Amino acid sequence: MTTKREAEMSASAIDAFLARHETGVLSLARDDAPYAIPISYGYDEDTRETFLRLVSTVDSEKREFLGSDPDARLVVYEEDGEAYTSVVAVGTIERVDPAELTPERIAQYGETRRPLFEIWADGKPDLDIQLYRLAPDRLTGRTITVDRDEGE
Amino acid sequence: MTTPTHTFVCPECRHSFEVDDAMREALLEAGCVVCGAPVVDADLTAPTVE
Repeated sequence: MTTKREAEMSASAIDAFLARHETGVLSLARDDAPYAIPISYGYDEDTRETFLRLVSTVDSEKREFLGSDPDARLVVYEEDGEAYTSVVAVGTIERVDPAELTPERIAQYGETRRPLFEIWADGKPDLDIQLYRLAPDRLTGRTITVDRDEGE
Repeated sequence: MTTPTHTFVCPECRHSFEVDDAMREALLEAGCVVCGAPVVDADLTAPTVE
């Protein structure tokens, strides 16, 4: 027989989880159309904001979705043995002007993993790299622990 | 930002914007805020006084 235990994560546990990870799946919505992409991010435990660098090209689907500060969800998850943990941040994603950054924010982006330019055929000057910030309206997390019966 | 003291041009992604002293120090420490490329003094130019 398999049993499971489910627990809501505390705010501090969510903060530690997001700070420890650096990749997740960002989902955007426009009208009835969904769009989801794997991204790398940086997380500020004090403000609970997520910082992203997103790369797009002129005719990319991503750029279409990012065009109007869309509603967004960021999902970060982990499987560790019999424990499954997921955190979901819900909010609006906003573009950030590099010239308006504080030194603290510059440092924050410095800790954000660089986009995987290697997978792009174009050089960096030909790519449109923009900074974004997700300040979540809702931040939740839970851990599910599965106890598997060896004799089953 | 206080009064800009330098213009930053990233050597890799070519993004450019004006920075003050504190932002300049942060870029040298953290790298290009847009693409993450390392930043050196030569990438930050002060305005030329005529």
